[in-house]
Amino acid sequence: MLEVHHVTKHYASRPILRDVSLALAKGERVALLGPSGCGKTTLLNCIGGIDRVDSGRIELAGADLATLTSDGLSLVRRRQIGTIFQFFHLLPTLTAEENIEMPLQLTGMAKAERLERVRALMQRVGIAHRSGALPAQLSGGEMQRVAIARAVIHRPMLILADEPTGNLDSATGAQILDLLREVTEEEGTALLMVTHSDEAARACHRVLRMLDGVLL
Amino acid sequence: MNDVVLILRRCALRHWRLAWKQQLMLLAILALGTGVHVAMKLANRSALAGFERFTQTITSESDWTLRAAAGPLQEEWLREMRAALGGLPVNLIPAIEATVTPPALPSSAEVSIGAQPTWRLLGMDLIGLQNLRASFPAQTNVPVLAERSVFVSQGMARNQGWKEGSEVKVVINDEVISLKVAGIMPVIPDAPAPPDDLLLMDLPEAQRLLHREGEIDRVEVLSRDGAAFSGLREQSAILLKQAAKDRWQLLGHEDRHALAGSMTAAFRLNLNVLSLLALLVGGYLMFQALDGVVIRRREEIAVLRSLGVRERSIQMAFLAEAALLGLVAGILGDGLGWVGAQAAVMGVARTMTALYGASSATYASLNLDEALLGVAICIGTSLVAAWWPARVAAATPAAQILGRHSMHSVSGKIWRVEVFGVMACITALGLAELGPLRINGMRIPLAAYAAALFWLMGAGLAAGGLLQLFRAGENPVRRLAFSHLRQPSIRHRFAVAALTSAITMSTGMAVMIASFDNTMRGWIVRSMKADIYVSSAGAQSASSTSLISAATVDEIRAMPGVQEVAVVRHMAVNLPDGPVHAMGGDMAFAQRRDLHAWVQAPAQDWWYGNEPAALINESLGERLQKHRGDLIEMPTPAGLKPVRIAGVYADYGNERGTILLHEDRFREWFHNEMAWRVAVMLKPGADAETMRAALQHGHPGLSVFTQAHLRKEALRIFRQTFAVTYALEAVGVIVAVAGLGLALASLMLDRRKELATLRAIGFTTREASQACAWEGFGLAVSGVVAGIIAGVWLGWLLIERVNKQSFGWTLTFHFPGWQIAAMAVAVIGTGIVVSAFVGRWSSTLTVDREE
Amino acid sequence: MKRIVQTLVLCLGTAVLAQSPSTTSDGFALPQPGRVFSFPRDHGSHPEFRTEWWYVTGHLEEANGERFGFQATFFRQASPARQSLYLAHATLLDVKKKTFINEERLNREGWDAGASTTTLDVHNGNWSMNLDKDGVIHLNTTIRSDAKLSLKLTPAQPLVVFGKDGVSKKGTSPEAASHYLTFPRLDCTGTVGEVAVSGQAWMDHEFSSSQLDRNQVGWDWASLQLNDGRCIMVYRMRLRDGGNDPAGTTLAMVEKDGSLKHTDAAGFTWKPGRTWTSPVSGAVYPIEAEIRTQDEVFKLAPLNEAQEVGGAISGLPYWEGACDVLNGNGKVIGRAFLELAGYAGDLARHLGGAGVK
Repeated sequence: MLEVHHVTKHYASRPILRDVSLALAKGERVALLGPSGCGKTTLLNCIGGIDRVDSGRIELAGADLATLTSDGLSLVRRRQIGTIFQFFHLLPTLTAEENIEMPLQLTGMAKAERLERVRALMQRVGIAHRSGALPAQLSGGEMQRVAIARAVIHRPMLILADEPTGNLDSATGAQILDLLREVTEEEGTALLMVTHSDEAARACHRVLRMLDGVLL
Repeated sequence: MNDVVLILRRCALRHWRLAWKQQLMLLAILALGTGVHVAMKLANRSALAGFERFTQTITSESDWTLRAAAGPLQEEWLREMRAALGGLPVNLIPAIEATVTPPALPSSAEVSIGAQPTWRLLGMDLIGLQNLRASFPAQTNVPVLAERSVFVSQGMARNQGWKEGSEVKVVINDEVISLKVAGIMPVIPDAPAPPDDLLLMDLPEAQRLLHREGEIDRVEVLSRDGAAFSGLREQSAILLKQAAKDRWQLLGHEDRHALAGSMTAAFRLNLNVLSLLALLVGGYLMFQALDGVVIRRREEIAVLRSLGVRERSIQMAFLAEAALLGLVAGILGDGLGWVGAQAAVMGVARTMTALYGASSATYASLNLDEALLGVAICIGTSLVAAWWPARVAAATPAAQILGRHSMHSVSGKIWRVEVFGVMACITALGLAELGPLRINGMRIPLAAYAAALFWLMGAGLAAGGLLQLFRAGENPVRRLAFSHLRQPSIRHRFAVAALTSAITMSTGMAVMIASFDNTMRGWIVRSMKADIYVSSAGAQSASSTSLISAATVDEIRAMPGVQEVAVVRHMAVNLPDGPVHAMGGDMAFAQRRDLHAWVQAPAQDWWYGNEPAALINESLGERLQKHRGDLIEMPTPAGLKPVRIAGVYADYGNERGTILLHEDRFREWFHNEMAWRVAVMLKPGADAETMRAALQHGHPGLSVFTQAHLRKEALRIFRQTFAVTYALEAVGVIVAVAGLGLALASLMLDRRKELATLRAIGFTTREASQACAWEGFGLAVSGVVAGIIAGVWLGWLLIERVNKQSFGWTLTFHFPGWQIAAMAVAVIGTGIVVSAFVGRWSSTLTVDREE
Repeated sequence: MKRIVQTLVLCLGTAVLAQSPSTTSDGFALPQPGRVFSFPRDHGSHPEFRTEWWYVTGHLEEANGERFGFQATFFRQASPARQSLYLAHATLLDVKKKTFINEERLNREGWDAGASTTTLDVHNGNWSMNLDKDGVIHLNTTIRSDAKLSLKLTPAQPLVVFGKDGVSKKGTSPEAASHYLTFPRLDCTGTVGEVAVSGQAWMDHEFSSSQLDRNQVGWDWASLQLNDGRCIMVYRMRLRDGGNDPAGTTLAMVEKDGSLKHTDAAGFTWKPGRTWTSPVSGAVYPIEAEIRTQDEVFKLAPLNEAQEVGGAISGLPYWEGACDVLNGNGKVIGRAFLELAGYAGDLARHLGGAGVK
């Protein structure tokens, strides 16, 4: 489903990614471990189509990202990818519910169906009671639940998570990991998770380690 | 303090160097705001100076000016003045003045009023003048005083292509007279250059040509204290007043300034209001620009905080930087203002010439006081505008925290800005109920100006409330965009406020002008009913002194085809609080033709009463606070005469005020047989154009207008007054729209992380731009809607308070719907375009900055 | 006396050579021998003549002996159209401070300048001179705002009429002549500023229609008041070639009793002494003179070098200076005023023929 072939990437002639290759199957959860600055986030950005590779190839569901335009990449992210960030990155002016609803609105789903799905998912991730709250009014755990819900609401093939528990206390982090595992299993979604945490890694099927831009 | 200097040196100034383009842009914006203000001020002053300069160039500024309360001074009185002064070494410089004009080219077409330049013919004793060394340098020989000799400035000689010995034809009253250029006035170092509209003649010759032997218009009193005399100015004032016996009045230079000031009040009102707008919008712009600076430097500030720099130091450093920016921009602004003023002066001078016949296109020079004031205003505005950004900067968390939080715009909830706005508006409503300030006969609608300012600010701040009303439907782009509007940041509010203020001002002015225009048109139709109007060809402006002789009037009356002739006579008289027009007219004619629109109608046949009665115009009634039935002490050459006010009529022809007497009474009191204007009614069947051509042909010294042409001209001149206004309004609105763009750009910069999120969840570049455009649209619509609503009230304020209190003109409210709709569409359209452009730019910016 | 006929403009090319002895070609009166003067009428103005002046010079002293020199002159000059211009000069020399200030003034006849035709009553701006019914002359002048003179002049010696038969000749042409009336000694009291002063003055009143002959370029003139009670009026008209015009050179001695004796050019010599160059006009004035008659020598020694008057308006400055009179032994025997005209450019070129004293 996701195939990364011999990807290299430089920033200002400094190599960030060196000949990275990996593959994810449908529903597979993979943890990507490595020290700060090893290139994990860059790899994630390249896979998400936010950044472009210098050489090599990234295929998502058989499509070569390099052949897509910026708008094409946006459509890929809109339909196939969900993203979770360490700092949640909810849209500050939208309520929890509106944040979750946004990806569905982008795909043009009818309102009734959209709301039904959003509400069901909010129930599922345990934040139904906070649906009208703005991000600033939510706790860290709640924000990350909203972020997870937003990442999966449109049933993407792949979730890219960048340190999803990095900004949470350990108890909340554990709950979030459980939720992430359950949700991806229910939806059959693949997960590529950048993390420092062994605990997070244990929630995955597979662990990849990265050092200085090289996948070990 | 050390911290502050360190931050300034190491960070702020380095930014100036590294990001010099942005810095330059910022300076330009600040300088523009100051520049507009300075330019307005200079143009205004220079226009005013046109009234004064021409005497100053000849005499240097005098201590006192003596004038008669009504009519001319008699030359014989000069002996009494000299006797009154005893042995005091005081110079008395008599002068006679008149407006003259070059004769129109022989052509059959009717010309525009004001198309011919108005020149000033100044008669002064060229022999006696030589006792003032300011006038002619020692090496200059005494001029040859041949008949019809005239001296002109170098500028005028150059403009007109005259040389010594040139023959010059001018219209004096209704005669075309040939003069000879006897010399070019030298430019004297340290004295103002002679103005370009001045014809200087020897006094007796000027009196002869004007048929005013034995009369003078004023006497300049000059003295200089020395070792043997001190306090000459004060002593001479006392002695001259004692000898006056009501025959003459003493005016100091303050009085003369006030006089010139009152003559141009209407025009300056316009400029005042506009420079207010420039300042306000400039302040908003500065705020937005400095706000952008804070955002761009946030990381740097965060690092400084991490290093232990105190919040206060950061705030101080920002304010210091703003002051520094203000200083540099203020100096640039002075320069810009000066350049702008040169252009504005041309426009202003044209208008002034048409309205008051007063101005030569003087050079608008900047003096130190004004330059310093410009800089001070710029620094002050920078500091006020920097206050909030500096606070935000100081409140920036240290670097380690900065990384963790999604740092979104500080919301405006700290202040309930709308509440302040509404309070300001309520204050404005209260202020609007106060009367004008009355100083020396000048009425200054101070409270109304304050009301306008409060209203503008209040409306701007309250307009943020409109942002709450935006609701999105299904569209995710709009939903996102409007969600920002519903939780507006200070930046949103300020962008809306700036736009609202500009639109409010534009709408208010448009309403006022439209109301003026409408009222004027009605008045013109009512008061201009004669078939043909005749004036001296020298009467190119309201302040022209050129008249028509009685013989010429008789000739007109005798022409075949003429059914009736009505003569208006005119004399400038001075009430204690300032000048006023005394006029004499044929009241039976006026009544029969129903020429007057009454504010307070007189009883029938009022002029047959036992005591002298007069009509006054509304301006004068307002100025003197007098009504029908009240008495006015009317200055005449024979002393003060009590006059009963019989009625008050609406008049948009002058703002100085008019006392209209019956013709017979006027002639009896003022001994003046010359006509100021002559209205001619033709017999049925006579063709106006034929008559006009015949009259013009026979009298090249006259201006002859048909009714249709005069009506058209009156409107044209009136509209010309507002030409500058439109241009400046446009600048205001453009600046406000630019401010909208700036504000959006700051918002987008501030929201880089959010933009990244949007991209991550699948927004396309286009959609991100659209979101930005919708946000801009919302801001523009709010500003425009609030501005138009607020502008209607401002228009009312300008009409019913400012204008009424300044000149006492009653105007009928008129809302120029189409014009304002067009402006609204243009502003919103431009707002969308600018926003979309910023959105586009922001979407390209995001990714680069993300890693 | 003096004359700088400020003819300004007005009388370019007038004058001279008229055929009729009673008027000039343009109708101005000419001095007639045997004219009988009546007073106070003849102290007043004579508008039938082209040129007229009232000329007062004097020496003043404070109670403490500090000395001043002053001059006050009122000129009248008519144009062919009978419009008169009034030029006037006022000066003050403060001997101790070595300051000399002066003001020139020009006004047309009318409200601010004029002269009575019935008695002495002339004014120009705030300057005035008039004769009261007791025969006292009141003189008031200022020099800008820097000085103020207010003096009463009382004749100490009777009026004299210079010239032959009442006509004072200035040249060979019959027109170059004037009526020349003088109070050779007037007692003065009054104030300079706020300070009381007293002293003696000399006053000329002269009227004519043409005084300067064509080849004359200027003149030197002096009035001497000797301590022994005698007074002297002396002048020489200078010719273009540098010599004196014998027809315009005279010395008149007024004896203590008022009797008058004229000496013509052959009877005395005038020898110029050292010169002084004006920093203002650049003119070089011989500010000392030695006048030698058959049996006496009078040396004129100026109290101050800088005593150049006028020119600001007229462009025709001259030197009019207070002097002491020394005899051959160098002893001070009186006081004098010395007038040197026509040194700042060619006077005749400016004036084309007008008078002087």
